Amino acid sequence: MSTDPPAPKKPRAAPADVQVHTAAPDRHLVTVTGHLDLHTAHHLADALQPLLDRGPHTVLVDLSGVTFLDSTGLTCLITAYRTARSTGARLSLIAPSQPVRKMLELTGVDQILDSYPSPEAAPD
Amino acid sequence: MVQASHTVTLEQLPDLVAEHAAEAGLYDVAVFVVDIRETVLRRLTGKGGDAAGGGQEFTVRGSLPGHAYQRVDLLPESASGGVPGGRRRWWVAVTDGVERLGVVRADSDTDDEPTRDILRDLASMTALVLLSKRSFSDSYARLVRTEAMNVAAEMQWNLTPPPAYAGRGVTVGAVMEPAYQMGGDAFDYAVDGNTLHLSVFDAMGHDTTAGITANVAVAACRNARRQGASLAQTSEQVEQALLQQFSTSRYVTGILADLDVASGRLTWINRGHPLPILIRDNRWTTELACPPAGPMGADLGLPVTERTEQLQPGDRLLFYTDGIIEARDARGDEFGRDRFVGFVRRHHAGRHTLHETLRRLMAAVMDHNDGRLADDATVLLAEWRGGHQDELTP
Repeated sequence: MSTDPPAPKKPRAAPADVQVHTAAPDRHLVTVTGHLDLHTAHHLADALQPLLDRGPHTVLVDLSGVTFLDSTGLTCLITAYRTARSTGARLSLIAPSQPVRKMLELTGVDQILDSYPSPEAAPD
Repeated sequence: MVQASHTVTLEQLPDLVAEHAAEAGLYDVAVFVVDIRETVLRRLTGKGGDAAGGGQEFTVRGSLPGHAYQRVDLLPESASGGVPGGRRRWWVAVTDGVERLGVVRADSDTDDEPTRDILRDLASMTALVLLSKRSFSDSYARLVRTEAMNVAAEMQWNLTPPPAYAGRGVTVGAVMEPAYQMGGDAFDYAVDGNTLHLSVFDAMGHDTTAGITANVAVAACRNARRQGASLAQTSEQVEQALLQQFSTSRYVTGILADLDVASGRLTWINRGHPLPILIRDNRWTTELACPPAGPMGADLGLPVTERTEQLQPGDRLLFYTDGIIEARDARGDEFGRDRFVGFVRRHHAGRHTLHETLRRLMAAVMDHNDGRLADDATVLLAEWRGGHQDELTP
């Protein structure tokens, strides 16, 4: 399974960018853009961990701008799901892009991680 | 010759073959062995670290020896070939009946059917002796490599069964790339009475740990299978073995299948992997659907569903990893599923054997990607002939 993005590595076609926006005291929106892979997945893991550790908060991960997801990126999402289950946090995905959806459906991860079309559509 | 071969090393094999061939009226005999990528035939001279010192080479593509190899055939050189003594020179594919190992060259005084039979016998005998020596010969390993290999590839080539099998009305072939820089791809098959087990695996990552992960998965799969576990139980035991070794940090996707070769009934499960493809009558193709139960080692706790399909004689099954369809050319165009399936249909429609089709497919995928794959690519192709065993060809 690929750990290298299909595009040439130099220069980095789309380094992942992770932005955290706290919409309400217990509702956070994490927006990821670019490649979510071996080289960048730890940025997302670092951003998610403290939010998920806070207990029954809602954490939404916007993946609409993710151009490539590899097995390390997917492992990061699965790990977040597992953490959320143990801390009581509510983790949802927002508008996963086509390459992300494809990977989630292929592996069956879409059966454990809920996706919503927009942050507004996600329940509290 | 077989008796005399018991204590012979690979390096002594060319002399042994030549000696016994001379007794049968064949002269100037030479053994050529194909590399793991099936691109070049190198003469086994027995000299040097690769046992090919000072020996001639022929490309599989575009040479007469290569042609004999591709067609698994016996081919004469043209009479004006200038062979001393007015003899006829022959090239015959070396095969154990299924796997192609190389070609043998020999000259003869006669050109009749008994001579051809002796040549075929010589090639079969050479195949058996080569097979009996290769598993413990470093010279053989060097002989069949044209590049340096990474540790994961070294593991994977020892992990998988031979890339070709035929018997009980079924032919199986497999190819894996990049042959020298592998990550976590693996395939497996095994015969158990009327059941042919088929599986393909893709361990995450592209490092040595990916190779280790694939080895744990395949070993756990075989272990469970040999204790009589069902497909679902087998995949669950693979999951447990991976969790013990790697917690949830490494996972393996895969398809595990059992084919009843007597009835043609196929059973399979899907652990988060691209679905197998069924080709029927060389006309229509369909994905063999099965809900994904999550990758093994990810511990998602999803139910494992077994699906079944009744095959018809002549049906072909394609198992593969995503690297084969996601191989991209310089412009970023994927090789793609349609091109992949179309290639198999075109080349395997009577023109080429199953194994030659796979060799050509991988060459086309490599060409598409300019000779360098970003990801592992594996294809396992199986053909079920039902009651037509007699027509089996390698």
